[in-house]
Amino acid sequence: MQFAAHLRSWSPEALRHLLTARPDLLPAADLGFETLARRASSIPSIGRCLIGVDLAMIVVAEALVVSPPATAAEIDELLGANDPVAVLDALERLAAVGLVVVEDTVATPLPGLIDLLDRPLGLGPSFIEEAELIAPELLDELARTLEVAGAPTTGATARAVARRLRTAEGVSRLLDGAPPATAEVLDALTAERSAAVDLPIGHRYRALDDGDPVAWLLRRGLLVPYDHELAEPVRELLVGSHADGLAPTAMLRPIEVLSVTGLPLDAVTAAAADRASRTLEAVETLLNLIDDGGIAVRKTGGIGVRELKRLGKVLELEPLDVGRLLELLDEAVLLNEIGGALVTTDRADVWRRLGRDRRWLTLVRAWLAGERFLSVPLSTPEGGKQLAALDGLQPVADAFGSRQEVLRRAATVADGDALDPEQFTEAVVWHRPNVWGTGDPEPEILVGWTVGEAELLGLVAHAAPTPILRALAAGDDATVESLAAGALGADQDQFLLQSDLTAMALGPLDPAVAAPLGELADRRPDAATPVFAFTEASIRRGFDRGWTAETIAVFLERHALSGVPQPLDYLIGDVARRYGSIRVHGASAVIVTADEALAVEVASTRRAARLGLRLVAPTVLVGPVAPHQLLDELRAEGFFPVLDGEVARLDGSGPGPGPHGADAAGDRTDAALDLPPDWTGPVLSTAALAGEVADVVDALRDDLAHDEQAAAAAPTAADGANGDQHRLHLLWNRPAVITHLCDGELRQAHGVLVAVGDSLTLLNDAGLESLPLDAVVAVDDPSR
Amino acid sequence: MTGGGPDAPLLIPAADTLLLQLAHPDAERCRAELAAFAELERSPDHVHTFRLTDLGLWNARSAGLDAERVIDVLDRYSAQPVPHATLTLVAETMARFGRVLIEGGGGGETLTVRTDEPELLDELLAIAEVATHLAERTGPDTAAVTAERRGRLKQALAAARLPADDRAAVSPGLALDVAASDELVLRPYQQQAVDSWLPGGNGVIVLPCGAGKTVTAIAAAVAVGARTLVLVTSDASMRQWHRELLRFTDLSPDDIGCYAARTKQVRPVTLATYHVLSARRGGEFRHLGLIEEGDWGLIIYDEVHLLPSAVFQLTAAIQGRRRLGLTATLIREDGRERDVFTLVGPKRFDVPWRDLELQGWLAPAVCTEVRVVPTDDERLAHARATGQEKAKVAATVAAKADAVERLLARHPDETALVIGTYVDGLTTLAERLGAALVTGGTPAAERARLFDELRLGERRILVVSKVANFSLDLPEVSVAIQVSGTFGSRQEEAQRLGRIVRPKADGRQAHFYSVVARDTVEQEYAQRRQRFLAEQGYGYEILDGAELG
Repeated sequence: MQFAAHLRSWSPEALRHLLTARPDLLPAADLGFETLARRASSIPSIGRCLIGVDLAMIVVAEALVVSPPATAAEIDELLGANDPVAVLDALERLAAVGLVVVEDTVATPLPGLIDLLDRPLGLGPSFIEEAELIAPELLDELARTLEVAGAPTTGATARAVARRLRTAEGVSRLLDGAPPATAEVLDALTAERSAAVDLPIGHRYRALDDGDPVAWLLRRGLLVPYDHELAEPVRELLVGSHADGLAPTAMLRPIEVLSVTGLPLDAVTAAAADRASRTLEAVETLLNLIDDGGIAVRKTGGIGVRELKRLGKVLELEPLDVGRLLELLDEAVLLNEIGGALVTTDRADVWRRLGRDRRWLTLVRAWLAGERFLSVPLSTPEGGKQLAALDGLQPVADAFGSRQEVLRRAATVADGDALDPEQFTEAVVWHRPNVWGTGDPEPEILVGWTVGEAELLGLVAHAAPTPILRALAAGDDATVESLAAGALGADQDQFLLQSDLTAMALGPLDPAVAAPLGELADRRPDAATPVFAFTEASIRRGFDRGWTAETIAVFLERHALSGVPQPLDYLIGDVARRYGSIRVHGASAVIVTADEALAVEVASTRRAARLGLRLVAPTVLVGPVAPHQLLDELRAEGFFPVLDGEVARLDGSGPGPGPHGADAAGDRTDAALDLPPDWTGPVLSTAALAGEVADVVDALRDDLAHDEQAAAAAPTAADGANGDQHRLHLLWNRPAVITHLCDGELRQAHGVLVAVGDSLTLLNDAGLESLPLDAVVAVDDPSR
Repeated sequence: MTGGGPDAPLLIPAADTLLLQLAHPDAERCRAELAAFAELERSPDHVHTFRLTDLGLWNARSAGLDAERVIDVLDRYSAQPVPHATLTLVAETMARFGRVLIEGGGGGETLTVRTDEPELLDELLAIAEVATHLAERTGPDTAAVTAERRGRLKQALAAARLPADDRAAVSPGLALDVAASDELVLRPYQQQAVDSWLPGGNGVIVLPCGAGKTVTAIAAAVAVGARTLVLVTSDASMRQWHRELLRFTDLSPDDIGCYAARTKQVRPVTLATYHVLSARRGGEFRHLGLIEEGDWGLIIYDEVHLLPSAVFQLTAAIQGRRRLGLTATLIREDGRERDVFTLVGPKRFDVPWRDLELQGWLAPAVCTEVRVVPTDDERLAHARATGQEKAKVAATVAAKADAVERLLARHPDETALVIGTYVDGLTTLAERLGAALVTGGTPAAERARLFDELRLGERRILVVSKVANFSLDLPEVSVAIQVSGTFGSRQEEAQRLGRIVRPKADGRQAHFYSVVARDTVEQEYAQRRQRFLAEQGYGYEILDGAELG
């Protein structure tokens, strides 16, 4: 039966299952069963499907490819698994995802599956392929030796020979006609799965001596060159030589994640929330360091191992975690590397304005959606050097898929239960062995990386998955968001003012408060908790940005939990008194002050001498310096100058507080609105997929009904042969029917014109009826 | 680690930083437990910052605390799970203490250095700074060190973050028959301090100024009962010790010797100044014999945070003697706290200033800064001055005298010290106030008389220079007005404040004023001092001179 016809017989439930397991088929399914079957049989689609299947399915599929077609019992015998139930289960699951077709208990692999599994169960090529290359008389000789009844074609003969070779009796009979030492050669070759023999000289030219066992086997396609030195036996010989089966120890039964007793759930969630908070703070510090040019980039690009270690000390993180965060920031497009320097992006600015939970969720979602392993930095590939961060090297493995698998499996343990790392890895790898790439690094390492990344983000703590992880795995975004808000808490919009002239927040400070506070006070770089120190210079800086004593007072009163300490009040007043006591004029600067002593003080500084400032009157200095440079220099010297023209600020009539201002915190808008809609959206939403699958299956079933009706009414080939053109008028929104009709016409080698929209009118005008067409399909596209 | 729950008083924002919220009902209990292993770095009004340092954790380890206990305290009081980095820091740092033992010394010249595993000794021998002080390897995990290299070796080990647990026997020294007088009644915390120090026979007792360090040390000396060498900062301090020894013990004046610039008496209890001990001739310490030949059973280092480099060198050579360091603050302006730990010994006892104030052992103090406005001429002079001249011009602005007068008028019935740095200005000020002046040049007898008169209430005001910074016991002084200082030195601020916080008989409050010239270099120094006081928990206010009325 054709695969398309086979699919037509499937129930809606079976189709839903197929499309859910293989979502890449959805667009094809939209076009009907033929297209669906073609897409499902294609190598890219089968390859993609194989990434998602478990170890039992892979083993059974490979066994089937070795010996197709076969029943479950035959596969079980071939494997030597002695577990026909598990084999049957795997076979049914393979059939359910459309990789094999089972009819009357006999399973046949799809051709694409055979092509993809080119070394099934680690065995070499098939005799059937090799038979095409050997001399026909030798194939006939083999057929005779093996007592294979005369087959109608060469291919049929080859398949019959292959079948006989898979049996011990066949192998034994083969040896009857072989040179004396052939049995020993075969024994050596089949004793181990990967055994090979040296190729004889001259094999390329078939100048082989039939008296030599290796040459004899090579000429008959029973041995195949593996490379330019070695030859390996065809897979049938190995099957025939392993009466105990080819994979008796294969893990055909599912390995589920076994949990171990962990800490109480609240301890797990508290630890995870703490880790998430610290990671968030580390990310913020990293972004600040990038803004300050505080991260050294290697000449060849990326962040070197030594720099990661240095940053680790600054951030109190393991160097690997620093590397992970840098990779994550890149993944989230919060940083970029331009011209040998790291820079933050516009998106980083938006990110900084988000609430804590949203900032964290953005990182988590960027990780989930990301296509690379964050843990590559500091790893050492086989035969290579320790890798830097952001240098673009990645293992050949599916980071996105592996992350999903890890989350999905981790989510299966109960609340508060912990994972046993070794057993967890085993289970995760069993369920999707093909996600883990080429084996460098080993899957075990990749699973460890992924769990480590989840721990860094606070999705796993004390080896136990958190409720947020479970909600993410379930695609339950409402729960994810509510748990994140609870775990991360809101940013604080209040701080304590202390008599040592510091402001301290007992937790993360709302960026809308931290930014204006940072204009008025210096954030202590060494303090993990936000501590801001007020100094003369910091308050002067605030005045430069448009603050006044009054707006500062309003801001502090609004956000300070404790009152404003008297010394701070005094300090602000004192700076206000001195602010603007020096005025800077013009391009070649003139300093004017009402205070003679102050003018002398300025003139007597070393900086004044360097800048060429000189007193031209008791209260006036001039110098060949640009006003803004002079402002900076005077400020660095501890003075409080203003540029003349900005004086208006002093009496409150000037510009309001800088970019933030006293009211900024109260006016905060949802910065998330500035983000692309898909950026922070759900990543693992299975609900959406389920809805789409249901729609497509319904449409498919409708099409099937229409299809049958249309087919009944469709013109036959004979009609076309009579010279009548068949014109069908269809709507574009029935693509499955259109495709089916076109397909039917084409199969009968009819000429078909598909005319979309008003093109048919134009073609009619041009004399369409004179064209050698058997059918015209006119399609109205309502959207045009 | 699960933490004490979100409502607990302690936050741990960084691996080595602990923030204690004072408003929390458990804050006091938590503070008491933290003090055993964490250094109180800042203690302003709402949140105290503690730091986990090598020295703090080693001190705790040497006091018998282990990492498990420390982590348990953090876990009980932390509002969030104790960060992994903190756990690692505590465990790793505390595990380093005692991996190297120094043993033996029962009269022999050579001591044994024992490591907890042979590989560690291999490592130590690979560190040139350590290996140079080891005599020879005597076994897989043992090496020999000569007695004279013991101190240097300990310094090198501490620098390598492997502080030695020095268990080598100490020399008992010549016995001294000494008993406490009836007047020696220790306060509970003083007794606790002596008890903490005695078993180890070395280490530092940290008590705030006015808390009775001298009395505590005398009690320790009585408990040891051996010849004692007391190293002090100045002649004035020496006299004070002399007086206290006579008062609190049964020693006679003949039992107490003074070893200073002019007198060189060596007696069972000898008082010597750091200055004399540091004197050299031809590169050699002139008075080394005093240390080496006295067969002292105890050496007391008063104001150990001021120990000069030369005395560190001498101390390194006498590690076989009992050593007691006294200080109000372990902060050294030169950052050599590690040498104090290594050579004098770990901190054995510490009680915060504010605790004693709350318990009534220290007078509560109010700190006020008064800003005065210099005249235009003074401002011009200040503007034209360079370097230290600026400080001097600022220190002597005329308006300060006026402010001092007004401040004194606020406290008509209280005894006051006016403290400054520049003698010229102080002389003028003393004349204007009609008060006596004590400077470094005032004859010792005259100085003693003036202090006695102040102590007895016969004199209300005394103007003093830096000589009054240390070791001056003037319990009834309740007002201190500093008119100039040494560039905002935190240590000087602590000492000066200490002069007035001795508890008053009538329980009155102490007042500590700093008079500062506005818009001068003094204002910057003043800010540093203010911050220090605020960090110590003292509230302060700033007033304009004009507001004094």
